[in-house]
Amino acid sequence: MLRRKLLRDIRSFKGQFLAIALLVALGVSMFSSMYLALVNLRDSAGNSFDRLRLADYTVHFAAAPAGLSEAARAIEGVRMVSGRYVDDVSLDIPGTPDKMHARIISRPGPGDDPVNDLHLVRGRFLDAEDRRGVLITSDFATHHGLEPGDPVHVIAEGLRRELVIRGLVLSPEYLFAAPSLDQFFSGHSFAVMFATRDTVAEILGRGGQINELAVITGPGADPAAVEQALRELASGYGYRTLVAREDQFSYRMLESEMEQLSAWSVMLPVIFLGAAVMVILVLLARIVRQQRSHIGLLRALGYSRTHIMSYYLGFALAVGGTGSVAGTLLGYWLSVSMTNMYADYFNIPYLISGFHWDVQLFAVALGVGTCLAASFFSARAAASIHPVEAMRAPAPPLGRRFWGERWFGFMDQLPVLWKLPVRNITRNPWRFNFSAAGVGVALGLLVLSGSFYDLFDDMMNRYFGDMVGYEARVNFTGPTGWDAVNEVALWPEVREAQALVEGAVRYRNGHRQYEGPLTGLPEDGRLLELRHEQGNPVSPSRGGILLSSNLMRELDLREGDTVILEPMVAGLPSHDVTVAGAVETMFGIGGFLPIEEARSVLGPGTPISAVLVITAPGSSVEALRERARDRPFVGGVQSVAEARAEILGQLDLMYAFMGVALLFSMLLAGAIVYSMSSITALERTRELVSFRMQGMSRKGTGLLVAAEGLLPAVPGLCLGVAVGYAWAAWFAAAFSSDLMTIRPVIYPATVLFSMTGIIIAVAVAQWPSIRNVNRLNLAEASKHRE
Amino acid sequence: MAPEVLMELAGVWKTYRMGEVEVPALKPTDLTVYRGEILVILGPSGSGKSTLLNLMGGIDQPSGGRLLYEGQDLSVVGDNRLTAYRRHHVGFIFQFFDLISNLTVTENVALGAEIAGRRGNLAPVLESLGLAGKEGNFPSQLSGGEQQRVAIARALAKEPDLMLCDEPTGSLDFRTGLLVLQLLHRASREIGKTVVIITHNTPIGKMGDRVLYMRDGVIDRIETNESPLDPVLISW
Repeated sequence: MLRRKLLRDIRSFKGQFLAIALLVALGVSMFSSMYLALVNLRDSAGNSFDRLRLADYTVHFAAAPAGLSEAARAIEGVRMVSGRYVDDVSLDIPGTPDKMHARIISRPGPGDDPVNDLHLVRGRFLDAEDRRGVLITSDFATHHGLEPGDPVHVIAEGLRRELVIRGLVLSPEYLFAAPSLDQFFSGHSFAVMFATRDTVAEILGRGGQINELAVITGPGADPAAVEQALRELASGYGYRTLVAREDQFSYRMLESEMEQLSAWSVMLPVIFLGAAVMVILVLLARIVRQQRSHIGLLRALGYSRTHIMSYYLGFALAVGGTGSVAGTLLGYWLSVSMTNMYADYFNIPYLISGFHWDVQLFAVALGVGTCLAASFFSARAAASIHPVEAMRAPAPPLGRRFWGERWFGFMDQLPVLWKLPVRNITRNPWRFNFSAAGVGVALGLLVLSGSFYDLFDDMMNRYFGDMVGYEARVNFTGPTGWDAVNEVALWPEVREAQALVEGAVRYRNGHRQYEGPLTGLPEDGRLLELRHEQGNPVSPSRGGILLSSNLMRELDLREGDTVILEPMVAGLPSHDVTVAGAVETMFGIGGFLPIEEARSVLGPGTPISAVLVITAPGSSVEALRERARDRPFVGGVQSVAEARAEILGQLDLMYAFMGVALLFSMLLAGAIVYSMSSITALERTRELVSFRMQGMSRKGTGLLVAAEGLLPAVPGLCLGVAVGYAWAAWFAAAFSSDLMTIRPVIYPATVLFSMTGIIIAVAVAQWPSIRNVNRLNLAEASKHRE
Repeated sequence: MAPEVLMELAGVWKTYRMGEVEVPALKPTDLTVYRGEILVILGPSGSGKSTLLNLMGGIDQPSGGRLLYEGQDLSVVGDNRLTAYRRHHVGFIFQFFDLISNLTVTENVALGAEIAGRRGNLAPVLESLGLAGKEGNFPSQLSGGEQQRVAIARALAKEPDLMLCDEPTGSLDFRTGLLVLQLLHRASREIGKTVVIITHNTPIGKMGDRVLYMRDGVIDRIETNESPLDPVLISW
């Protein structure tokens, strides 16, 4: 019988029931989708890294005989070793306007283990004797319309050589392809190619040599001992650096994304389920109050406290169950889409997209458990009502002035009808606070999701607007000196040119060290403008190094301290340099010295890396490319405008996330406001009927209900802006890394747009309550006493 | 001088649909209500008293017949006109007072006036109803009688012609109920309001100029009191 009553109660509170179920469904689906995507991503990445045997360590050195692999394999704990030669070259693709930056990597030779194996997407692998064939990363190939059988021209050591694409591949090292940490937005202008060891030797003139060892350790290996042994092994061959899997670029990018997903998969469900808790508390308190006499009757008829308690817990179970089941289904559907998006974005070769019963059951338990916990106090309160007391009419509600009226004296002069919505705050302050908090959290979420665009746009503006003053970057290849810079400066297409040197060093401060890029810039250069944290421009000058603020933090350095710069090539002297100040770099991490000082730190004969260029009036980057095309020292010409456009074109993930956040935030605000205002309207039916009977129009009561519903939005909106800023600051701090420095930025337009969205959601959510009030049958409603 | 007709019901009837059943709440009824009179409606539950009151108050419309207020047929006007009618011409007084719990006495009374678009000093109304000194109190700080007096003040503040009272003493003890009836009596006698009182309480009929007895949705009979009593002389 009680079950039937429960079903009828659900029917009579169907709007509120659905609103709570929606909140639970959203919370559960957030958890389920993000956690499933996380598990899928982790499984897919792990599976891909394992199947393709991503190296645990990669040791970089100048050059060594191929036999070094054998020596590495003899180190205790090492299971597999592959020696290879890796170098950067220029790539000329017939039909494209420019040469591009490419990395060519030799495939394992005889006796090498298959470390960093490749996944074939199309075409075929290379035969051992293939001297013309090359494999190329599929993302790059697809973007440029390259297929197996197409020719490409590799330019290295001043020579051009035609190779033929045999297959399109995915490499575990280059799931997210970038030449280095500080150039990770190279997008589709960076190719990775694989050729037989003989082919690479021929192209680079390095027969029988390797410059990298890719190593996989066995179970129980001592990482510190293996690292030490590998360093010692490479020390005689111009040891440069050792990169552990955790620091490998693709691996780090995926890990960083998974960290974010993990944080979101906790934070977002907490927000939505927290909102569901608020509404359940309010609704059940209302139902218990309304059903006092029923409770008394049931108790008088002999139903126990446990029966009464189970009855109200049953409501929570029903709403939690409905929301959770819907949420897990929605979550699963979203997780499949999210996993596919990630798989596309990161080029994950072996995709695993499972249902994961354990995650789904946990999600259901989370949703149902939250609802049961939220309803426990109301259920207990209902069960503890004494039957006699319950059948008596409740005490009339107390009246109180709103505390704000003491501060705002003018309120006394306001018409009563204007005062009424404000005074009604005192009727149920908690409900008002819940509504305000709900609106605030929804707005905060919307501001936060909108801020992703702002943060990114700000980074782009600061980078491309403030820092980058050039239109194109002419990359050099080979041992290029000032004569090449001078030649470029004299090209008729060039108005202004500025040389640039890039290399890697080890920064050291006591026991802290960091291997990162060092950039050399002319002291009077203005095409790559550095800025202090305060925003004022600064140039590197003699006797001091400018360090990116994230590197300063990493090494615990302050202005005036001394940092030791160690070249990555063993045997070269280290340099003690005074820290001249901190500069803001949006992308990457590193230090800046005057160009010749940088060359002297990086080692004798360090080539000029590139020339930054502003084109002459009437000329263009295309004309510059045409001019540079046949110059042997030019590796490629990068257009700033194209780079920016390409970055913007890669923001699908962010836009998808923002779209979902916008929808979910509006639903959150709408569901909370609808629930609260409909409960309030239900409670006040008799009062609103009395207004109508006294001659208040439908419009009047509608406005009254709307004003009361919108009032919590006022503090809610203020709270939401503060919450949005706080979350954006948290996000910026939590997800800033040596890959990028995120500054918490929210544009006023984002705040206005978000507020408008929430106000629309709140206004729409009022509509059912207003409609219900307007549809009241006065004669019928006047018979009932609230 | 012949009494002035305020309202006239000609063949007014009302049926309600309860699920699949049509329930006749008021069978075709003729009634004339005069300005300034006290009309007491007596009858058992389900006799049609409240339906008649709802129709007279414009919170419901008849299923048939004509209901004329000062010559205007309320049975054919739309919701806006009915709302305006209630706003400007009708004051309701209910058994459970229906005060707004978080408005003070003055604010509750002012609310009635504001809805009717009346502005003015409410102090005389409050004083005449014995509410002086209670202006800042909330309903929960008042006795039942005081609350009903606030409800009467709220109705009077609108300056209506017609005061419709649904069991105005139903929630009050004898002494307080008597006080409320005296106020309604004064409203009729001193300021000329037409007062219609629904009650189960037969002795209250003695204060009415006319007493209307209802049974099974029809007016059973109407009695005219040649000498209506002052409520102080009534007891039950």
